[in-house]
Amino acid sequence: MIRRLFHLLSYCKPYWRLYLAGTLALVMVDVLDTFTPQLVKWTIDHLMFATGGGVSAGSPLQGWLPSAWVGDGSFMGGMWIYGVLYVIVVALTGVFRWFMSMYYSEGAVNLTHDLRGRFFGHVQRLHAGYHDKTKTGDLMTLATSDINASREFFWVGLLIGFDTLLYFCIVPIYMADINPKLLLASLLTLPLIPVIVARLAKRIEKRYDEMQDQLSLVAERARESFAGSKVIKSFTREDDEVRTFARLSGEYRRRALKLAAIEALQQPLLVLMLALADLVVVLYGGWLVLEGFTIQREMAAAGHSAAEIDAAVRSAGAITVGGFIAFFSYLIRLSGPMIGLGWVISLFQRANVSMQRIEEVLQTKPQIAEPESPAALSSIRGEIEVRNLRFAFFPDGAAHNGRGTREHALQDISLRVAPGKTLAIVGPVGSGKSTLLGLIPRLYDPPAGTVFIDGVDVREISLGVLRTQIGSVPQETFLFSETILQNLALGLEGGSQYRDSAPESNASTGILNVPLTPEGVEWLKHCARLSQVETDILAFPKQYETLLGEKGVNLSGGQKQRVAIARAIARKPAILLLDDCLSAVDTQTEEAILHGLRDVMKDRTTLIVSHRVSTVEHADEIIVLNEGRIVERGRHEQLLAMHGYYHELHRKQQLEQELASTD
Amino acid sequence: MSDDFEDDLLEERIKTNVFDPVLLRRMLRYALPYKGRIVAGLCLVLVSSALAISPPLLVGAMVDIVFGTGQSTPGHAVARVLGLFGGDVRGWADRDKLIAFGVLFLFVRSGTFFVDWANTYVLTGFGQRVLYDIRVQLFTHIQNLSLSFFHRNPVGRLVNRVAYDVGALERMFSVAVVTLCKDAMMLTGIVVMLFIIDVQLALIVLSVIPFMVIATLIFRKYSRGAYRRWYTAQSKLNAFMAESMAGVRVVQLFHKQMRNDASYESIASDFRTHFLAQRRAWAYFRPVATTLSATGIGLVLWVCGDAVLRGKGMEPAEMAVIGAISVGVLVTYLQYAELFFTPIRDITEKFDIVVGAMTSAERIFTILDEKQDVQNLPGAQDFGRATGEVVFDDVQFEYKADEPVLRGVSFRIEPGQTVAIVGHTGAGKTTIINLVSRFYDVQGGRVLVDGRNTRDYTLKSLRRNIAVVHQDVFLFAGTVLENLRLGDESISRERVVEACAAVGADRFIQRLPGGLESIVEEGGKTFSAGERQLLSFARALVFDPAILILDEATSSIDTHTEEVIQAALKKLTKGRTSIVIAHRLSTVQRADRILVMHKGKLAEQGTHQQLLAERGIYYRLYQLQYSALDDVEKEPEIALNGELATLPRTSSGALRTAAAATHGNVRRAAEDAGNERASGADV
Repeated sequence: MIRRLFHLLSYCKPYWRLYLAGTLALVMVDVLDTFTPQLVKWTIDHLMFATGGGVSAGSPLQGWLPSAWVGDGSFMGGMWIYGVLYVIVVALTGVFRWFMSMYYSEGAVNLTHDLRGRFFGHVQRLHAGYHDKTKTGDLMTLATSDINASREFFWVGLLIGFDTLLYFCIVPIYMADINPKLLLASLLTLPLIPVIVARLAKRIEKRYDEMQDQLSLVAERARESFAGSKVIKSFTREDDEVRTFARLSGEYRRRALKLAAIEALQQPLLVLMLALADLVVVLYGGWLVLEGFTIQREMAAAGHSAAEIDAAVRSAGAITVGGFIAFFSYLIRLSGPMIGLGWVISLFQRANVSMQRIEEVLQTKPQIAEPESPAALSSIRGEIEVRNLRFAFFPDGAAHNGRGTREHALQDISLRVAPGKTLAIVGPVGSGKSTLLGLIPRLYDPPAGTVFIDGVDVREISLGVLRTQIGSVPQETFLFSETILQNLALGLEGGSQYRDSAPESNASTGILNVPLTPEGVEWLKHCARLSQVETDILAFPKQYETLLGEKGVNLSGGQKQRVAIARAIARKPAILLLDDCLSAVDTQTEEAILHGLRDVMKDRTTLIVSHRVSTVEHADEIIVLNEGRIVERGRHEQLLAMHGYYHELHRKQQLEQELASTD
Repeated sequence: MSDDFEDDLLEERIKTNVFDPVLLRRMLRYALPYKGRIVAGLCLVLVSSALAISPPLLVGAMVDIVFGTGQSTPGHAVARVLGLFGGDVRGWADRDKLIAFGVLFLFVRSGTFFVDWANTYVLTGFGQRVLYDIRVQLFTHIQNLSLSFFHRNPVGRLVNRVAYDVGALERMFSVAVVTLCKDAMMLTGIVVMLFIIDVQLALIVLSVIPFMVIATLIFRKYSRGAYRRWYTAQSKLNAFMAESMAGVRVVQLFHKQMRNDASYESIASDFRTHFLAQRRAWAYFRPVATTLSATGIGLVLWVCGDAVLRGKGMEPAEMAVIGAISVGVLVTYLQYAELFFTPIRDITEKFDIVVGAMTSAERIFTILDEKQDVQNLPGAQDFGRATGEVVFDDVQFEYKADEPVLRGVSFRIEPGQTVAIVGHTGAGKTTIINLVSRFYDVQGGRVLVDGRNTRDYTLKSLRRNIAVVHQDVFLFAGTVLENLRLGDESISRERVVEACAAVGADRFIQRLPGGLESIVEEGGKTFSAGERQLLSFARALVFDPAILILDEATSSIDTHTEEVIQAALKKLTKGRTSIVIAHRLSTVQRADRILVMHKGKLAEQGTHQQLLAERGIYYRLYQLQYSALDDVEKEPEIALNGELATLPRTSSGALRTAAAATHGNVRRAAEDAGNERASGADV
């Protein structure tokens, strides 16, 4: 525990200046704040002295300040100085409190800002295999609530922690000054507070967990009922569902009340603890005051001086009325931090768990990393060669993808695509088509010595070079919630003539926000035209500036695919990877797109995965994959002659067309 | 994340109008049934506030009485109380006085303990009951909404409403309402006490309140703007991160990680700036507030101090004349001044919880306001037991305007007949079976069961005659038995056992460790596709419907299971009207009649042999679907997770239209085809 605490504290190191300044301000705040009861004590002692009922020589201010100010009433009455001092002290406390609060929150915010940035940057670089088995929602939880939990600790937690520590150091000094024995007597019950708080906290936590468990059951039941609403409706079981749900909710209510029964104890119990301390102060402190009175009466009768009386009262351990009242204030100032201590501990525990989760992700190494000594290759001609490739998603990736027992996603794959040529891949689901395509830009890492571009192992090519030279249209089209133009501009690279070299202004608008030159905009529009999506875009009121996604327009599947194609060709890639990206596009549009692409891709290498014969028939070579192996290969006519899978595919699609044209 | 985005929008809309009176009134309506509890709670709050404001009085009285510093209102009051126990307290011995005050303190504090506890408990109990009512009502309402509602709203969102938005209301009831009530009463109590003790002094001490109010108002105005900017910046940051993570493959493929780092820096810095600005608002407010309250205390020290000095050596009667007070009164005032400003700060903080709860309330009511599309018409009758004739009379239907799915479909199914529906994806097969159960209302024409229009009868009485076996068998968390009788306790265990035996599900159920009482795990994923199918058959048989609707599963199963299922199907369809969306050749061949749907119309009908002979659409479908099956169901090879996976799949490859959407591969599919031919030959 202590080690973890120091570990967490080590995160503060880069921000030590802010934390140090904040802590200094905190010291001032606490010193000033604990001084205010002293002022009250002086006031009352002064009054007691002045009205003749007092025990002591009054307040020390009477000795320190001109008597016109204190006590004789010749200047603004007798007591103004105490009121003014009080306000000044509290106002000063406020000033330091401002610094304390700002420095601490800035320290914590900077800390979490950098931590979140590190986390985000790291996650961005983790390999696709990691993302396959990790839910985006889980990562987002880490980036939001877990980061917030740690922010709470690094801010409020540390603040209250130090605060508590300081109070424990300072307050007893003042109390001991009033009377050490009274301090000890009254503190007898106070140590019980943390004990009881901790005890109670444990039980509360247990009941809280029970309640939360029940809430999960309630949520789970609701999920089931809603997900199975079709079945429930079909069999008219709605009433039963409601009954079950009501029962579960009733149990939740019962547990919530059980929790409330002890949670409601927490605050009152502290009051009760204070009551015991109060009792001690009233009885013992009151007795000490009265004892002082006795001494004073006796000594005054014997004609002793005020100073002598004061000394005698003090040495007898008697206290003044001011001290008596101040003692109550100090007790309250001690009990606050006692409660705070429990809070700090729970903040720390939460942050500890959260930080462990975050660190776990940070410690995951990206499996696909920049080669240590990248090959000297600044651009790519586009020759692709695959030699005896065997590939498996191991070990965890395989299990997750439900590929379960299948050892290898791809086996014995050898192929060569000359620059500018087109290779088409067909085959049933799960045959490894997308996997093969994913290996080329190293979305998944092929074994060394199996996949080559321009004769260089892809693992030796700098990721930057590799990926800027490849235009990829994945099967699942992902567009960002930005304008269409900005989505297209994702394809552009920095330093090209299409991008405005002016510093990227105000990137706060979002993920993309690339400044474009007029030629750049023209080029992107040209790409949209080639991929046959421009007509669709121009139909929107805002045309290229149309916002996509939740807060904008939802494109149809086919439109999305075409935008993704335009985005990919906007890079002017040496290699274009099209993973079944025309599936949602009708045959005629497909024809037009392929035609347009043919012009663009004249000198570029294309790998295209499709389920449609019409898409692949003009390819330079077609391979049929099944269970990770190449089962047929050749040109369109050759494959037809084989009377295998490809032939069957072709026959069915002809039937399809016939059927579609029948009314 | 989509749900959160929507919520963000809602949230921003709501921020502008926190105390919507309509909303408040609606929420109050839920509290009405618990008047008794509310009254009890309020009484306890009253007592609790009274107890909370007594210690300052006690301390003041103690100073005056025990330490003999004079006479005062608090002193008189307490003296009167103590006087009940034996004459004038001032005449008591010092020791007795001390003990008396000790007891009083103990009494007040322990009273506070019990009352506060009871108070919180009672009010939480009230809150929990209200929440329970809201939650169950919400659930019931959602449960009875039409299927189209479930299509529009992701399950996750609905669950959030039922579980967590109701939870946000809970915090409001338990934290905000309880403490706000108490704070308000305490404030009132303190003000009253101050005035009772000394009007003039009270006015002086309370003179800082207007400044407090002004400061609070300025702060709220400033902080709300800052808060909203912070909130917006946070939404932006979260949206940015969510997008980047969901689209991480695209980011990597286009090698934009560095650019994204820069974007993060800029967006997150924005967030940081606004966060600190919002903190700064607080940081300014607190010192101002404490200084103002300190001014109140300073005034007590000064003004009350002077008043004490003025009364030096005077008799009580004289003191009152010149407005002099005792030290005890000063102490009381001092403690009240300290006590006074804590609730004010609390109220400002609790306010945010109320705002959050209002947002949740709005979301909940939005759903409660949702109307059912398919409702019992006024005067709807009980259908009773059907014989099972089903007639479609020129039925027109569309889910979305101008996209007709059924374009004038008419057919008649005799009681006891088995009819297979075949056709392309999107030809309207599923729509037909949905209309029989009246999950949707037709836009034109009529759907008749036993010659009676389904719209004229109550939904439940109609559906009780129909059992639907869905393509993807949905199994609930619970035991196998519960899944088979779906919570209907009137169905005996024996009947379930019988049904299982009839469809041949008994064999694998017996192998389960707990038999029928075994828990279904992971939504039934531990069962094979065939087993799940058999369970759904048993479920249908248990309910013994007049009409059976079956959307045949497409997943491939082994030869043996196929035989079992076909045998079960024979049992299941015997003696009742059956409408089957057929994916297996054997099923089609066994049907009394085949309806061929094509582009929203009934294109052909007849028996398998007749239709083949026609060489029309059926013939081609037959060739496509039932010969040399291959696997064309598209499934992303790179498994996607989270939000992405819930996006609609990029729609069909051309081949997908073939209903032979099996999850296997060429070889296995070929086996299937072989099996079907084999089993088809049996019939």
